Amino acid sequence: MSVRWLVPVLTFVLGGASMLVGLAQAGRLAPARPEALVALAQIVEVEHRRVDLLLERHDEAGAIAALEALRGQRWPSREDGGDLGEQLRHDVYGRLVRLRLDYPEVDPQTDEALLQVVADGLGPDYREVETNPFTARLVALRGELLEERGRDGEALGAYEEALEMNRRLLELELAEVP
Amino acid sequence: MTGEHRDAAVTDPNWEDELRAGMAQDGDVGSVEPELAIARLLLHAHAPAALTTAGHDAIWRQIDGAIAPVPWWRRTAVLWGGPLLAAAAAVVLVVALRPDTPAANPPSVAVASGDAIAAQLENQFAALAPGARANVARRVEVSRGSMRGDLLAMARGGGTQGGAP
Repeated sequence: MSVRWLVPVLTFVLGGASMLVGLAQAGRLAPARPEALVALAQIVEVEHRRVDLLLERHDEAGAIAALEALRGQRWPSREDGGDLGEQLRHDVYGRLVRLRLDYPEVDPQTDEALLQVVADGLGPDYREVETNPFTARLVALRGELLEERGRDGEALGAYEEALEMNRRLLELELAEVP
Repeated sequence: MTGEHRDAAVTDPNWEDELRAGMAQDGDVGSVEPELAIARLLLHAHAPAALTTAGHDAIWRQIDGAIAPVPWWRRTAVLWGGPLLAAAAAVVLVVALRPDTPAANPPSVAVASGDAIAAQLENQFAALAPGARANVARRVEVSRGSMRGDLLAMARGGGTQGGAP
């Protein structure tokens, strides 16, 4: 292969790599294991419906237990499940913490324990996940827990972060409106 | 008694002593004060006391002090009202500029604003969640199609490479 061909090939490779990095930063990479994502989505959807039914029967304890069982399952990594897998986890954790806050008398947990649940749910890279309402909600719930602990400064930071996420989502929604 | 002698008798200071002595002989009955007042007036009219320059100045100083207008900063209202106004202003400044003042009510304000923000965020989530769930379902379906394609490709590849008949 002559040098004349090497330059366009390298340019193409570098361009492709840059695109992949950009997409990863934007949180739009497809999951490496789509089957894991599909399976996870099915499980989460079924469990959400189950929790809906339990709440309709005013069985908050059962709903919390169901979500706790879902939380305890093995979640795919961000590489395997992609950003959608992260969003599904944030959705489940958010619903669980919401119920914990709304029904503190059911299997009481300390605020510190709930903060740890939120931290586990968000994961270390939640800011790199494409903006979505589930992550924003979990961040907002962290704000509520921090506020209950009297850590007002950190709570305000979490609230502002969640509001910023929702503002970006609203801008995206408005941009999609013809 | 000639007129000159009468005048001398009237202006003679001993006349007062004689008058008091006569009243004492009468047993201190009555009063000689009116007569003494007239006698002093006659004495003064006969020989007005000379006023020295120093005495004159002292009198005028007393008069000046009595009739001179009081400067505004020495008036009673200013002397009493000034300090009172200054104290009131100091109190207002201390209350208004006290660093603790904004923090006097921050817990309730923070709680109120925090609750409001949390409720607002929850409302936003309720509004955004249905669309987000639909988006997730759509993209999961894309992944499902991708997975199906991969499985078919694997099946085809396995059929040709596995040496099956």
